[in-house]
Amino acid sequence: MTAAANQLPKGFEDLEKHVEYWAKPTENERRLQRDGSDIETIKSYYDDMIGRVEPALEYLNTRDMNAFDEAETKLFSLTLSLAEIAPCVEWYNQVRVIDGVVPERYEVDTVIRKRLAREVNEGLFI
Amino acid sequence: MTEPSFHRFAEQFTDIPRSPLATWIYDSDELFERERNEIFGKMWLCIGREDQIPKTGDFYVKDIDVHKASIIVVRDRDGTIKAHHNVCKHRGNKVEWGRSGKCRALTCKFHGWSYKLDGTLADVPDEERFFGFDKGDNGLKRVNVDVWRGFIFVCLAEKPELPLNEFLGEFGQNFADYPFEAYPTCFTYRTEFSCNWKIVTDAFQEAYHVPHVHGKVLTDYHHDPELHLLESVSFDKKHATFAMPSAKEHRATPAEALGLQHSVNIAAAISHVENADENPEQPKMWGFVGNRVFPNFFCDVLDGLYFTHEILPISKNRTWYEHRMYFAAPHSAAAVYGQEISKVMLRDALLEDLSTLEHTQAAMESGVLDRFQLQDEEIVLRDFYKTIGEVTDMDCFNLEHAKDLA
Repeated sequence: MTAAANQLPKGFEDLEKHVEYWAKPTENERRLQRDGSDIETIKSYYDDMIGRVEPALEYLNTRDMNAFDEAETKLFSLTLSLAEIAPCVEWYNQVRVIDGVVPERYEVDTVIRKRLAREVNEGLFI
Repeated sequence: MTEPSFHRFAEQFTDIPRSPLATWIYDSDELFERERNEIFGKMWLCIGREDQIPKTGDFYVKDIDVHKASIIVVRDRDGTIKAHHNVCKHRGNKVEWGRSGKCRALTCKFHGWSYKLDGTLADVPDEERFFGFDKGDNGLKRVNVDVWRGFIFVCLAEKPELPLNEFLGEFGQNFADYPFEAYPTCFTYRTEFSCNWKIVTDAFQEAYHVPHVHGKVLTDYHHDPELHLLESVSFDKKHATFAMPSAKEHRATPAEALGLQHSVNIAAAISHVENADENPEQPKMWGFVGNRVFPNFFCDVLDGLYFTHEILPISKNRTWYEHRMYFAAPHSAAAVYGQEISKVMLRDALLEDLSTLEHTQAAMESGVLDRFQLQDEEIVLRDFYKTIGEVTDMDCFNLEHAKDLA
């Protein structure tokens, strides 16, 4: 892969070394990267990302998420990979759920709908 | 006298057995056959949400294996949901072979019979060569279908014993105002387990396991030793509602804390009730309310998200399982990140929940145990088996029945 293919938005060059391995667009791909890594690799990614995810999200929030360019899409995927591997570091201190069912047994569907079926008083209910 | 405080639900619900649960129920051909007929053949079953098929002609196919039923669920031209047996009236071929899609008509690929979305037979190649043939009598066989707040229910009986609203009883009334439609983003996880379907339902009917099975994920339960004790339980008809108390505070991890600025997650939503109490202007909210919609559907609602479990037997010791999580529509990258944190947390917790099922089935088949001791906090589970017993006319607490089987 060329250096250009790993390019992130200006200011996030320090994370470009992680693009090839961690900038994956789907949950399944990110989970496969997690499960294919050892805990040291995951910790190293976590350490590099945990202090950078907030500025990354602040930057991405200034962009139209439906029209991210390639570099923005990769930065976004890096933040989602942090979400995928954070439990390994913050909860389990190992790659997989402790004594859990293996996730390969799940078939996964994702539907992100960007509109509400009807307006509601968000978050409040009795 | 201290004993009553430990048996508060037994005192409240005196007709629910306290005696041990028999374990032959997980490996009995006779009980399974009765469940097949009396439960899955006669009751309303939740099989999805109507936003899975938002537009005219959108459809999905649902299998109910224990009745070898394949059902086409489709959005008709008038906007309503229709359900048809996926069986061509000509010579019984499966009409739709895919799992979901979009169509203008339902057309059988065997001889080209074509049905409107409402199931009526529209076109038959070489129709004039049939004998005394009336298209009006040859529509797809209808399946009873109804929708409650976007949830699609079907009933395989010719005539349901109760209309859906009556079947749902208080569950329908209690949750009439919950904003299910506000959470259109859906993550689905589907799998099969080598265990009896009831062992899967057992996993979602108590909170006794939470501090142990989820000791690393839902850490608030370690900080508050009473958090797993149910706040309230209610039963109506065959259904159950059980509320869990709210955490006094939620200690988010670093990655989670960033997500919480933009989204909710299960742990934060549980602690949210306490925060709401600090502001009397704000309506009282639930922490976590589990709902068992008998026989095989769980709808667990929180402030800001909800999730469901659907459980269908394939055979006595094989079970199909689908978990869905629903979140608000994300309007920013940060909100998607927040939902991803929530999703992974809940998904990993589910991997913990489901880890015990097949071990339990193997143990039941080994015959090592003849009974389970269930405590007061497992009241919803005990009610489930009381209900199974009533519906099938087989007492799930009858330890002697194992000897009859032997």
